Amino acid sequence: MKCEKFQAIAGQVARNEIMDADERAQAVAHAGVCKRCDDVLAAQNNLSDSLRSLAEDTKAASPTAGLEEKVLRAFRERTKVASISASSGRRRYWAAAAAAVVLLAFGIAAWRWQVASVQRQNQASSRQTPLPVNDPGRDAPPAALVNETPTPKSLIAVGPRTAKPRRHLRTKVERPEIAQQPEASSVPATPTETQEVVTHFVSLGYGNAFDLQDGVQMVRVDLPRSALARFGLPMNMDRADERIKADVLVGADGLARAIRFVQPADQPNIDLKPGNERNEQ
Amino acid sequence: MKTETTVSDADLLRSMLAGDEDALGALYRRLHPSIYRFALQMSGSQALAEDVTQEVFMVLLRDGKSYDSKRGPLNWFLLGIARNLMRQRLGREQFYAPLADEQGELPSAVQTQQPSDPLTELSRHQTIEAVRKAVLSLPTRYREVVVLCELQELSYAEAAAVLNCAIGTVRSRLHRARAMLVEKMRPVEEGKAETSRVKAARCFA
Repeated sequence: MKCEKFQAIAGQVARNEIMDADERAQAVAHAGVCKRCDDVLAAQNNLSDSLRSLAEDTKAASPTAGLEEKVLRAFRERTKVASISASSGRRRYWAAAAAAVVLLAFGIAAWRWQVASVQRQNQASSRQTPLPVNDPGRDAPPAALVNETPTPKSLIAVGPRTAKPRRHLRTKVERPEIAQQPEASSVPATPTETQEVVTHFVSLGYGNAFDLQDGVQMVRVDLPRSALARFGLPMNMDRADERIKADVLVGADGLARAIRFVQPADQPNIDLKPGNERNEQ
Repeated sequence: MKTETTVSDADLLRSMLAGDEDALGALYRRLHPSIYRFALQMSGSQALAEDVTQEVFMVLLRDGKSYDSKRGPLNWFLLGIARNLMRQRLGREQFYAPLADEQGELPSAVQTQQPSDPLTELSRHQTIEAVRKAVLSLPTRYREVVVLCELQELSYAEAAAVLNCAIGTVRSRLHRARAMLVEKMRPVEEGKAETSRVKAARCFA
């Protein structure tokens, strides 16, 4: 065995560690022939003895008797604090639960109150919405929609909605479901209206169609027959003095927006353009 | 009814965490000697060792749930806590010089035993003090392995578990620490030899 190898394992030999028996024998044999390595082994043995003495010396060392009492006192204080914090934690939990229940109840009550108020506003506005004179119930919502409970989302985002006129006022066809709603029955159609022939609406150029979104009224007027020529309709000059009926769409600002001409079905004096429709009822 | 010796450390710890003060007392009586000795051998100060021992059990009260019995006995867990606390305290107190009356406060078995031969006991006491000072003068990482493997007589594997490092690291650190201790103890041995030579010369004179 070489000295480097011996010095690497000298500590293990001195500590009597478990090692290979041959290696230990070689190390002891090397120490017997090498004075320098023998001194190293002796120093290691002395160190092991000194450390063993130190270990034995401190083995009997013990802390003061008051240390255990300190630890136990700290334990008792900690247990007391933990129980107090646990009870206060339970109290906080129940307080939070009660607050959550109260908030939930208030939220539900506020929501129901808002729904009810919006329903009342809808009903009031639907009663106050002006209906076209010659087209009762045309722009009113169907009865199913009027009686339907609005959802909270639409209530919050849109608010109370009023009945808006249609942008394309082309025909006078009355839909069956509209005719059955209460608002339509409040303005009963006259027998003559069901037997009229009408023309297209002709724009009067006082505004665009978007203005009609604010509301519109239809007014029945009497005009001289010569007014037909002004709108490009054929006219019999012999009967220029006679009066004819027309429906005028009046916007919310009071200006006339469009006009159409009306004649009873039994007096076909106006040459209607193709596309005009005869009332079916 | 189980006695303290039959109940395992883990069971006592569970009882203690459930609020059983007797379980804490049993754990303290069972485990505090090795903790205190480790702290005393690491610091050389009885007051600091007591502080660390108390703090270890405070940590056990607070974080006892983090102990995993699969990773080793509870004693190793507490020694690991003591090692970390000791590192903190030594790092904090390295800037302070000890008072004169604190230097000689280490309890010694020599003081409690009846000396059979005063000269032998005096020589043994000098040797112990010399090796104690040599150990305390080691860097912390080497001192830890010396305390655990030489003074606490733990195996390499146990020391590695306490120090949370590899067994080879413990082995190499111990080898290096012993070499340093031999170097530190050499003047003492030479001084002894010198003294004996002087005495011999005086006898021959």
